[in-house]
Amino acid sequence: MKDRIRISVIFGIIASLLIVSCGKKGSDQPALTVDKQNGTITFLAEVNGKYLLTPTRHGVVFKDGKNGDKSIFIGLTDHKTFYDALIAIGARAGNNMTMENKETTKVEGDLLDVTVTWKGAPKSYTLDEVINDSNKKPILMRFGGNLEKAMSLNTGCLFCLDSCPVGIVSNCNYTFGAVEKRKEVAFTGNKDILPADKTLVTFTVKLKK
Amino acid sequence: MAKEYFKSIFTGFIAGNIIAMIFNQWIFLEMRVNIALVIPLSTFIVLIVYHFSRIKFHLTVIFFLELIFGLLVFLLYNFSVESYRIIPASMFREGFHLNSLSLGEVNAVILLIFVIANFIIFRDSGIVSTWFVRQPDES
Repeated sequence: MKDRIRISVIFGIIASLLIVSCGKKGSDQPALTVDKQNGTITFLAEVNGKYLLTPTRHGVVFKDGKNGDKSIFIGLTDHKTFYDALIAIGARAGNNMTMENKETTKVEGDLLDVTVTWKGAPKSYTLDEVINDSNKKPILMRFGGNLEKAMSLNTGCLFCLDSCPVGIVSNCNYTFGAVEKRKEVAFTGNKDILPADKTLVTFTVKLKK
Repeated sequence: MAKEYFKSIFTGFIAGNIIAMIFNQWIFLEMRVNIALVIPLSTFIVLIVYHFSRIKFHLTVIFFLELIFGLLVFLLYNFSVESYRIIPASMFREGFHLNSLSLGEVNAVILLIFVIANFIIFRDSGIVSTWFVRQPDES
């Protein structure tokens, strides 16, 4: 009898914690804003602590996409809105990646300047500073496009860390399969710079001049 | 009886964590599947197995599973002490779909589970009473 009471108490405590957590409020800020005059997009994302130690090929993925919990940053804006925002600031998509050529082709499209900051951060960081590339290559993000594939597969991918036929923006340094298949490179979040898990960060994207 | 059910749930939970951590090393799979689902799955399977077979989980088995779990967290993630703060919590969060919780909050839940489970399971083994219950003065 005593055991049953104890076990009920344990599950009660755990259930209470989970119920309390479900009532959390999100940010009041808009998930994405476009400043056409200055040609910048700002969008919100959360740090995913898991990928500060575990390698991934996903930089930023929309939280409700299929890969929503597989990225270093969990985006609060969806891939369609992000794509439209890039078009709105005048970016041109490469649209050169297909499922057939993905392992031999590097993503094309306009080169983007991406920075990230958060409350209490001393400055805005570049992607190179917040994401570790095991080969120490500077990350080069290009507007791949791929809207049709992104919509049909609904992976939610905003930033991929190797050239991707689905992600809206990809790192053109590597072809698809560099992380998972050929192990040419490993990407993790920089735990020495990034804030704690679930911290809200703001990405700023503009065309590289 | 309730304690045996609890032991089976905890054994399944630890075994699931070990399996998930091993498979998590396979990046191709990790990027495509929610490997951490193996944690609730394993917990449920072991519970069902116990319910129908009444197989008893020896304390030594549970102790060694916990030991293996603790060592794997350290050994599989670049011998980083930080992995204790990140890996079990991220697995638990993914496995139980608790995406609104931060790793800190999940760690609090895991710590609670481990402390209470170990207390209940090892309470009658003599270890807990030796450590926490004052022994009568022999003289």
